[in-house]
Amino acid sequence: MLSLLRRNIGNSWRKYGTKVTPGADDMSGENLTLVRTKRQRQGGSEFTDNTAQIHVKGRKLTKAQIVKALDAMNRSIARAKEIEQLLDKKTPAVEIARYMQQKPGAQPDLTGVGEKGILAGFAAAMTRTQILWPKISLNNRLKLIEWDVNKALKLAKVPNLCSFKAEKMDGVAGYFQSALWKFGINKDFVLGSTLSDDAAAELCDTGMHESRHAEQRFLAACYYAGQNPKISAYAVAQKLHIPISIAQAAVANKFNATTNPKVAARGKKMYDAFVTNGKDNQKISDDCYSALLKVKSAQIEANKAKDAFNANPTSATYADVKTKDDNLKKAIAEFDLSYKKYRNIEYEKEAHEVGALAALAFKQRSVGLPAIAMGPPSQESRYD
Amino acid sequence: MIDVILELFRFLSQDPLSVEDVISRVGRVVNDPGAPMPIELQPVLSGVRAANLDRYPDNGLPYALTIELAPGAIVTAAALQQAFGDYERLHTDLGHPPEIIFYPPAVGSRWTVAVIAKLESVAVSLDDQPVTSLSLRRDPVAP
Repeated sequence: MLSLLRRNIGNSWRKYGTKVTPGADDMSGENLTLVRTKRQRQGGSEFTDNTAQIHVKGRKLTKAQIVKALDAMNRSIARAKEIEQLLDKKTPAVEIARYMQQKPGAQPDLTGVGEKGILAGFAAAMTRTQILWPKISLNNRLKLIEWDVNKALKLAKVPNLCSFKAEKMDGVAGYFQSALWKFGINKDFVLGSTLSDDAAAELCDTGMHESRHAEQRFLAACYYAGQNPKISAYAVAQKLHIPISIAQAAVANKFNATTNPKVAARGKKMYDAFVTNGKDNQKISDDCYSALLKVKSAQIEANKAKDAFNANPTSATYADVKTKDDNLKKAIAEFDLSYKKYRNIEYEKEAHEVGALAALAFKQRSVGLPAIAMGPPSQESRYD
Repeated sequence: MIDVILELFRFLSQDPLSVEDVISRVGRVVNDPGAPMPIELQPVLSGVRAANLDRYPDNGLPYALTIELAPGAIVTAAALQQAFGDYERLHTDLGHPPEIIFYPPAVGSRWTVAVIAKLESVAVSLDDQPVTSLSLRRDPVAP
């Protein structure tokens, strides 16, 4: 597994879509004199070696042509780094920024945990957690997060989690495991001595993203239970791969003629996505991850080619730079295509939207949007 | 390793079974943050490098035991299939290793135990994949 997660959560996380300034990526070496100019600081390379003889198909390249090629490679490498970070950030910052441009309160009011009041309540509770954070133990930080996630689930009429655990994870922020009705959260979230605004927004995103997955699975189970009045909880449990206790709750809340049509439609949609089209959708996720690994591998090769060129700028090393850059670009294009498919899977589309809206609710908490109170634990003494 | 897993499967199918019984069998408590967070155990079982025990939030009975296998303890999905029957792949999100689930017949009258295995990667056929961790989930049998 790749080790992709930013180790210092909330500490200068690189944002998706932002310009990456050259640092370790600078083209520099014995034969190339690279001066950090304004142009470089903006992401460009500057090739100042007038002695290097680089030929392509018998023609000597100009300095400008070399610089252009180096710039192109730096851009590819920067983009590859952004792609790696798509796993640890549930919602790319550009998507949250898109919501931020809307008027506060103008965002969609979804059903379930996506209700504006629940999202605003969760965000408000995260502010309380943020204040308590430096004074409380790791276990109690987790208890606060778990309490608020379960409260949001309860408000959305979804069974509470059977398991909640902080784990060491490579490259991902969290997960929901329906078979154990478990929310796993990356331990790095809770290790910092403070919880920065960025990290708290990210926690809101992850918390509500995974809660949405729990809700989706439960709605799919309620839908399935409603298809046959005599169906047993055991049949529901094995069809949806959920614990018996959750299946029993689904049978007790099976969809019928009085079910809110919006909710019933979502239940059917989620059943189709998880069960009817489950294998196809899993393949999309698997293919997307394979594409991400190919980007990572191509990036490593590109960096090696760049280092070789820096050490010895010849026609051969230049040709290798071009080849490896082309390979990286191809891998990025393939990833972009598969990531788009992944984000269009019904359950991912919904979960990313809810996660982004939760992060937004935290960022806009000062606007004073109506929030459903998450309630206790509010007494600091319980968590010191 | 499969013997250890089969033994745990039978042990968790027992009734009655308390959290203390599981601790006595698997290993001492390292950290107990309270349900729904699992109890972290220091396993004394051969081939097991970490263990966590979840409890039913309402009655405190053992809910799921998760064990992480030591690097030398090799067991594949195919080996589990021989022991527990056919499996189904579970949905896993981007960046997570594949997981499979077995629903072996109940060996006791009160509890069934579902076996959930986390595999190494999607790179090759699931059958040949080594298991990295295993959760044994206890569900009450229908009355």
